[in-house]
Formats: sequence, C-alpha cells, structure tokens
Amino acid sequence: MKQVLSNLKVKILNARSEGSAITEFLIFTLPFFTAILFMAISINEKSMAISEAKNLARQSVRAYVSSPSDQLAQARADQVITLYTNMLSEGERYRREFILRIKCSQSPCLSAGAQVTATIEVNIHSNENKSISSSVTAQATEFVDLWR
Amino acid sequence: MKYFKWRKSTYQLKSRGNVESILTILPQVAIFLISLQIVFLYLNRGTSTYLDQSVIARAAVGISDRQDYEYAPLIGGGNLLIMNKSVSQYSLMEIFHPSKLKLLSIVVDETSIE
Repeated sequence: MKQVLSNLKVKILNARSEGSAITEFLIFTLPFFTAILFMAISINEKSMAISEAKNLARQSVRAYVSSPSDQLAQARADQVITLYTNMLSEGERYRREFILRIKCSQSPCLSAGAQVTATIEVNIHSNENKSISSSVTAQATEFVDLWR
Repeated sequence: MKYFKWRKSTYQLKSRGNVESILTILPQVAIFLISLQIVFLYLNRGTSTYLDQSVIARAAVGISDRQDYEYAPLIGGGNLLIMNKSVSQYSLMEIFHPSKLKLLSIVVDETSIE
C-alpha cells in the first residue's frame, strides 16, 4: 500500500513538472529584464543630463567672463540658459529645470584674474506631477582675462 | 524496429508542453528584444548629441566648414552658436513612422568675442 502511494506521488510530481522549467525561468527572469531595462534608461537619462549640465555650465561661465561689463555679465550667462531652454521641445522644457548660480573669488566679479565658477543644477521632474525625480549638478570654472 | 518504436515514444514524450513553452517564452523574447532596442536608441541619441557638440565646438573656434547652425546675439556683444536638429530614428517598432529625435547643441562663438 505504502509502495503504491509512493509510486502515485512520484507519478503526480512527474506529471506536474513537465514544462515548468520554462515557466520558472520566465518568472525569475522577467522581473530582472524589466529592472535592467528601467536601470539602463535611467542611467542613460542621468548621463545625458550630466553632459548637458556640464556643457551649459561651461558655456554660461564663458559668456559671463567674456562680458564687456560687470553689469551685463549675469544677464549674458542667464541668456545662454534661457536660449537653450527655449529651444527644447515642449515636453522637455517642462520636465527639466535649469538653475544657474555664479560664484566669484573677487568683487567685482570681472576683476582681472578673478576666478568665476558657474554651477548648473538640472532638476528632472517626473511626468505625472511636478515633484523632482532626480537632480544633476555640474560646475565649470574660468578666470577673467588678466589684461582686460 | 523495436529501436524505432522506442525512439518514437521518446520523441512523443519530449514534445509534451512545447506549445506552452513557446507561448511563455515568446513574450520574454519580445521584451528582451524591445529592451535591447530601447537601450540602442538611447545610446544613439547620446552619440549624436556628442558628435553635434563637437561640430559646433569646432565652428566656435573657426575650424569647421559646416553651416548648419544658427547665430544668436549675446547681450553686450558676441554670439552664441546653436545647432538645433531633428533627426528620424528608425527602430523595429516604428519602421514606417520613425520617431523624431531632437538634438540641441549650444556654444559661445569665440571668434565673435573681442
């Protein structure tokens, strides 16, 4: 009797295990693939934002230090950011927020040999609401011409 | 003869559940291919942006022959060079209606600064 039951148990187990390897593989790997996909997208988005922020910081600090007067310097740096933002597609414009901060080693800023640092903060908003999903910061430094 | 009978029976045994296996693995393969494609599209976007930035950076120091960028005057003198391109991106999902990709590069024109 015991032997019969044991044989029956083995038979049932064998019958149920047919084709289950693929299902198990699927159950285990599907979440991994989905996670890898989201990770790849987010890493790429972040790296693009870093590259964009670095370039914007470099260009805005360049516009700043090449200003003919101290009064126009901030407006020139802001103009770089404004022009760039205006050229973005509508969706991207609302999604990304650029914040520019300028720090100078001397006062007034455009003194010969002064160090000017531009910091760009890119806040990426999630599509659904306006909360910040990630943030990227980049800095660029330039020296004011010694012979200006 | 006996051997062939035995082989036939083993093949019959092996073929059990094959349709189900295909049905379950097909979405998996589709997801895998789509994810590869999305990663490829993102990489393509990054490469194109970097290449455009290099072109416009060369133009800013006066060593580029290309003219597919526009000038924007800066307050107080000088110019900004802006390359604003829209390119089509082909993928397996959108063969007939390729998605548009916007590439934007900006640089201060060094040749215009006095």
